[in-house]
Amino acid sequence: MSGRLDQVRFEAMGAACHLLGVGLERGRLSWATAWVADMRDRFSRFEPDSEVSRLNAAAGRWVELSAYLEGLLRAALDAHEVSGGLVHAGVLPSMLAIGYTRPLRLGPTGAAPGAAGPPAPLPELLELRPGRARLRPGAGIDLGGIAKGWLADRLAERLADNCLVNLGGDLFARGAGPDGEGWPVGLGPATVLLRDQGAATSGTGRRAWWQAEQRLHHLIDPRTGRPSATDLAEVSVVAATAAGAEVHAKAALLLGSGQAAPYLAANALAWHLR
Amino acid sequence: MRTLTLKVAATVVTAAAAIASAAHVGGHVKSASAPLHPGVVGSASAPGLALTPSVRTGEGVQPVTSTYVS
Repeated sequence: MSGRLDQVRFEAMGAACHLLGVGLERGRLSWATAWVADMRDRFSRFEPDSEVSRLNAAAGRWVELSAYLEGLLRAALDAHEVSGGLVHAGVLPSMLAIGYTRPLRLGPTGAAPGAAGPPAPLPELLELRPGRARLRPGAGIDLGGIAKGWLADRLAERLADNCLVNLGGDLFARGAGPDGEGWPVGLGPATVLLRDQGAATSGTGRRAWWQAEQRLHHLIDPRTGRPSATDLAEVSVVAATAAGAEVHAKAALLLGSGQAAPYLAANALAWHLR
Repeated sequence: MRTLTLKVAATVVTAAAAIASAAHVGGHVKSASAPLHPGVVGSASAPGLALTPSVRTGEGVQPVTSTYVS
């Protein structure tokens, strides 16, 4: 053991978060918890004053960006490219159409699945320049599908040399872990030892509801503009970063069992399909 | 006459190289069933768990946290 293991659990971004570190300086976990809260306030589409809400409200006009939002939007464009368009931050109109208009603890609103249709490719909806961005009129973005993994990577960079940042199941393990063998992380039925690696899970079991005898969930397939009809319930992935793991888990889930394994064999370090 | 011969010869060589290259590329199309990198240690068939050599399992080790759907 190279130092004391400290940890904190809290709720943020509608999910359970867990931060751990070995030999942390006093106050680091409090600082990290506040950092996550600050990021939630910046990126939530449910907060009318958030940066993302201001960008969505200004569709058609250029908007000044913070370095954080610029980085996350760039990650969204990268995710769209590496996933062949499956991980698409521009599905907000489809989310609104199925009634995901507010945090689900408040309940969904009226639904008209498919009303929005498939979105255009993200680079056609989102123009990104250094320090500013512009959405096409009528477009809107939701960063919920990529933000937690990206933020886990960013926070792990800042928190400590030997730490684990888990934001709603999307996590990055930095350093050798509490016993020097890597951070032991549950991945499906197994425990894997992660060192400078990320992991994430995507599934249709959470953030799901019934409306007019139709099961709806938040995972929109951009090929249809509707909730995915995948035959997989859950995909967990290990990759070089949490952001990468999140992107590949989501893409594999949308691909379904027939194509998920070959896709992940080319893109991931480990995975569990259910 | 000699110049014309050289031009014709150069054209023939260029055309032959182009045709041979096209034939080679057409016969070596990337196969979806070709071995993928990196080699997979565990089962790659869905559903289930698959590991590459980059990830070690901790037999009998209790996880400190897990990845999960949120």
